[in-house]
Amino acid sequence: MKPTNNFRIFLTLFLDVTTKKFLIGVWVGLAFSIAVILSTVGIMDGFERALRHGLKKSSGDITMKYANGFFTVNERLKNELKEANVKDYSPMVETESFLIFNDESRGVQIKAISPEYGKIVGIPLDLPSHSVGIGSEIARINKVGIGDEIVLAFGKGGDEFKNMPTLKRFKVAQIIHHGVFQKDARIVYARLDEIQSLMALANRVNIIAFNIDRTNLHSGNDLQAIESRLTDLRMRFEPEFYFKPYWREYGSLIEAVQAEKVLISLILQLIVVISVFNVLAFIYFINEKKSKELFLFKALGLSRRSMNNLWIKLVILIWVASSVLAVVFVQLFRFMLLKLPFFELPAEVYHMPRIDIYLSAYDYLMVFALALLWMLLITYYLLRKLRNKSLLEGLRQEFA
Amino acid sequence: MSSNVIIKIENVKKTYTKSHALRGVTFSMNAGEEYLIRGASGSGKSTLLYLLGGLDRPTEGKVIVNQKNLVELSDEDLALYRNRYVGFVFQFHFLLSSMNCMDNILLPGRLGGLESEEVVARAKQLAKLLNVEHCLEKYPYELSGGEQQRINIIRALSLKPKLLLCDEPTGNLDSENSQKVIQLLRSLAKEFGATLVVVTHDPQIAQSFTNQLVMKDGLLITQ
Repeated sequence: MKPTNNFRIFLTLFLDVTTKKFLIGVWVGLAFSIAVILSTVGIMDGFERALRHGLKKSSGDITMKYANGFFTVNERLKNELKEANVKDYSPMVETESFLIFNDESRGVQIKAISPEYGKIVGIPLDLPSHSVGIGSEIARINKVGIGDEIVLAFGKGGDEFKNMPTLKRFKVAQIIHHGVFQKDARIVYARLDEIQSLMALANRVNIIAFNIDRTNLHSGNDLQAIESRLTDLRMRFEPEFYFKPYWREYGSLIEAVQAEKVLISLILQLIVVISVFNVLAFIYFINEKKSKELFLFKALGLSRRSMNNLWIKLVILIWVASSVLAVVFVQLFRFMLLKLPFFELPAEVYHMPRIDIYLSAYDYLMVFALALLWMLLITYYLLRKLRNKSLLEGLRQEFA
Repeated sequence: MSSNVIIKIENVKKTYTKSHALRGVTFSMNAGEEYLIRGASGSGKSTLLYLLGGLDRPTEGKVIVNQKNLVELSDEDLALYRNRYVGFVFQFHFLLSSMNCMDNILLPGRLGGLESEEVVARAKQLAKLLNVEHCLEKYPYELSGGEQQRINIIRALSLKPKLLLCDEPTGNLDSENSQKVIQLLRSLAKEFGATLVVVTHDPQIAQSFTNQLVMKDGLLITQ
């Protein structure tokens, strides 16, 4: 027998308007359900990804700090870093300050950086003398633009004014967008040499930022690679030096999002199951409505197994079509999330004003595979139930 | 078993959930001959026909066709038997409205992977013979009842079956057309060398058949 031919013949059962409408309803319903799960997972992944990306943009892969505060990057430390295979690093000073503009002030975090820092975090930072780069939310909230002059107030003045803040005027040269509200609302970049001079630090710093070597890294292993690097560094360096991955600050939030993603994905399976019941209702409907045609196929030489195979093929076809449509729906949701004002989030609460949907191949695979599994399981159960019903009895009832 | 016997039914019983359709039927049929099964509604004649056609299995007994017990055949083999060996003509012609008449006629060949130029040529030849050549490209709903029944007959004969089973083939026709259809079935079965089994409760048609099986309450009362 030629299965492809049979399936083509089988599909002619679905050409009438009522059946077509039902089939379209089943298709769209299932696609929507899959899309809801994909979007939910994608939002969670998107949130985590944007958060990690934003955090990474504000610190690099790993930061190294000293327990006693400031330290000098002397030859010995340079050698230790070299031996630890830390190739590109950026010593910097991180401190607290107040930004004053138009008689308004806000607490900010100063990152005093050298030119190589921009390469490490992936932000093109090019600060001329006496200029700063400010976070995009600072610019928005305090209405500061490029070219404006702001004042930074540092907590420690010179000896004769030790109880007075040190005030220094800077020109805003860049507005930096990290993608994480708290970072964009807090960070001000300044030149390392100027801050060292201002704070009388000589050449001392309190942080070294660097990235891991990604030469032989397979995609997707980034986090494990950083974790592994951290373990190595902690063993190599004296305990006074401590190392943090870029996500440490929001570690618990990221873990919560990951746990929530798994739980929500499981709970949302219910939506797919409900949609699968629509598929079953469709099979049942066809078995009733088209009992004459099905009887005819059987009379003309189609075995029960071949008939079941046709149903399974139909279910798989519905699944494929629904999966494709679900991807379209996800893109539609994504567009709405990114563009429509209605979907804008309070960034102070969610760390970012909009969340993009990010889905990996694994996410697609899992959601699609689970949907197919549910469909096949429930279809198999229904086909077994239908086997108990005699087609002849059904026909007789119909023509009685 | 006589060498000419093609069908042998031995003590066949068929029980549905609430009723006994057949209560122990035994008979035999010779190859290439014509048989008529008659009886009142609910007597079990159609059930018997479906058992002969391999559309259902008996609860008990043997249905031996061409020396094979259909009861012992697998579902796949039974389907193959229906496709290659049996032609069905139903009272309700069961033509698919989504296909034109030619596609309906070729359906058994397509389901069985046997569609060929020979089958198409036979279909056209039969259509010409039955005067429905002009209907082949039309859809069933565009045809009269008689034309639909003739398309149904062509479909049943499209694969040259050895057994032609007809369940109330004239149920929807007037007496004149009924006689014509029965004559047609007999002559075509003879031409194809097929054994013809007709189920009917029409006494007028019954008169013309020599081999008759009369059913009553699930039992064969005369053969």
